[in-house]
Amino acid sequence: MSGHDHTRTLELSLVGIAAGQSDAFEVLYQETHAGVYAFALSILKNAHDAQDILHDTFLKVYDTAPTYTPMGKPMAWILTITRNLCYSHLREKQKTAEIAPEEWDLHIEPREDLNREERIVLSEGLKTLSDQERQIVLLHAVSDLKHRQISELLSLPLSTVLSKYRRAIKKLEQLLGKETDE
Amino acid sequence: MNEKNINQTVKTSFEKVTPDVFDQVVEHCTPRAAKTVVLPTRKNPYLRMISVAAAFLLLLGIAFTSIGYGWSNAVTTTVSLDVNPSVEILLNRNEKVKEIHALNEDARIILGDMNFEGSSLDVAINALIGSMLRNGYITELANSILISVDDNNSDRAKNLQEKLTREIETLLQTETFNGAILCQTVTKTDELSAVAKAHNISLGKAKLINQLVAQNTTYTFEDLVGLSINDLNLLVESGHAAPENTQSSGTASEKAYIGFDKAKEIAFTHAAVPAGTTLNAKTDLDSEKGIIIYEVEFTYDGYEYEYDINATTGEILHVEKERDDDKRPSDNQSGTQTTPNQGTSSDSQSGTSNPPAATELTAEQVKQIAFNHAGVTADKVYGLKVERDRDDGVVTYDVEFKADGVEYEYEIHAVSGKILEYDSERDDDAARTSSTQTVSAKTEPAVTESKATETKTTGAPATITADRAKEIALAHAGVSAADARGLECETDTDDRVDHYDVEFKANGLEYDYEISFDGTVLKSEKERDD
Repeated sequence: MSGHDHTRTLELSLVGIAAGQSDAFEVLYQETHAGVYAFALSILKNAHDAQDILHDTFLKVYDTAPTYTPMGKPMAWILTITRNLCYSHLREKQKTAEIAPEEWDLHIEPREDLNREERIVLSEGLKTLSDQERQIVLLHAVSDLKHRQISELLSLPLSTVLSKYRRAIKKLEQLLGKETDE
Repeated sequence: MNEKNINQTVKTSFEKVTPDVFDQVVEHCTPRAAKTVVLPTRKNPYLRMISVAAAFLLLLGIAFTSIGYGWSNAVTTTVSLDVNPSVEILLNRNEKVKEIHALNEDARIILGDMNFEGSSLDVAINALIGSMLRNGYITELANSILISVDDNNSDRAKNLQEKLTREIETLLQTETFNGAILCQTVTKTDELSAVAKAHNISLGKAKLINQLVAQNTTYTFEDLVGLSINDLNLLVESGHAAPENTQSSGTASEKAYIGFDKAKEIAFTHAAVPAGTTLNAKTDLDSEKGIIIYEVEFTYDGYEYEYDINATTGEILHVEKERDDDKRPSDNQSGTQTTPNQGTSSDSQSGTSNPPAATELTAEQVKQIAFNHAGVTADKVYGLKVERDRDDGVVTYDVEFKADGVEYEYEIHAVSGKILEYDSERDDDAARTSSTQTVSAKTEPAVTESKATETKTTGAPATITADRAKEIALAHAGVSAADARGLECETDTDDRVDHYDVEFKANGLEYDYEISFDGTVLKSEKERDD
């Protein structure tokens, strides 16, 4: 599916959700949940919390779909909801003196369906990246955002997004290249 | 492993590890209002009895303004919403919807086949506002809505007014704009009803217009009735009238109009004020004969000028020029520089001076300008999006499209067709599916001089295309296109010198070029990319 078709599918789904079509919600969920989860994880760095935000994001998407104005940026709209939920979650946590983990430490169960490269990406790959590099790569690769949209979402200059993205890809390239050479 | 494979691996790994919470989410969702509000009136014998009873009372012609106050199902309150769609909602005392009336064609579009009978007011408002947003009646360009409450019980009316304002305010907080709300109470009179009915508007809008007409003698009801609530709100905000007992929140959007700066520019150009002259101009937004206009007043070279300019098209509707008695004109200059016309319309003048191209280009024309500049033909283009926009008071078109694996973005002046901003970047989606195509699109010197000359018709003085500018920069840096990363090219208007800004990275260095439109390297910079 090309980017344009994909955007169109998401917009139609949002309109469908607003009109109460239950299958539209499922389509939207399937198309976007990995991107939402990856983004939440990149902010919270905690699989359990990210799962909560994943849940809450879609609840909110469902509730506010009638207010969505189709402008060709459905994914950015959804991720703005995710970002806001994450930030208020972090604020809550600060009140209870829990602090977000400094280190990226994703405990993912060893799974049968992950191939070798995917395992390396999840375990070592993302760990070698800085927080922002990781966030940018995930937003681009998993959430399907354009660099321009990433710069808007994260309030970073486009040039910063591009250079960090480049650097992140280079790091992953080196890691995966080395591993596969063995 | 290349970039494309890495992105793909990251994506699939997350698709596999993302927990599936869909069922839990669905469990927590409140079913969508529009689907659930269909009330089976006919199957409910109690309700039927009431409606029969109500009809009976009506038949008797009892002059009883509110039928059976004690009846919980009788209509006690009428809420009307006006944007351009005008909708009237009849409520019983429990704020349950009795009936919804579409008062005009736009309202019928909004309502569609939604049925709100028996649902709560909140649900109806939610769905109606959602539908107005979706159907583009409330947008960044026109964000105002009028809420009118008609209720004999003034406390209840006041509470409802406050509640609705809050609720609609929240619903209209979107990503790109916020709503502007006017809220009032209205009392039904025969006179008001007759006027409202004759014009297919709500009592509320009729009342608002009545107030504006009463306060400002230059307005007539007939002139204002065709205006949207956003236009009326703009008139209120401009201080032309201050309707009593009307609460206002938010700011009406002026983005559908050319803006004060553009209006001034048009007037100055018409009056042959040399560019760069600083003048104190008085500007105002007003309405005349049912259209929104900008009034521009200024004094220049011993004359007082007064312009009325169509706020949508920029057309000069009316010009007045008279001697400024306070100042002595420099006699030998006046009369030749400008073509005087005392209080006549601009018609007699068109052709003599140099009136700006006042009418906007069509989306089709603008699209063609962008295609020509990019050197692409319509059959190669996909993902085309043309949006009319207003930036810093100038109406522009944003044109986005893809062709040959490159994503283009243009901002084009809606009147002159000048390309204000231009951006192209490699389309990552296309790269994912066919990377070879993308590479060829980047390296191939797709520019020919004939394409470059086409851009002249756009009004932009570009003689080389952006691709050519990229090539020049790359050649200057001694970098091959294949080695350059993040290659970007934009037009810029620094110090009024039009040129391309080309940026890219290669071999650990960051390059920044300014290339003039005749292909000269104006500036080159490189620094270590860290």
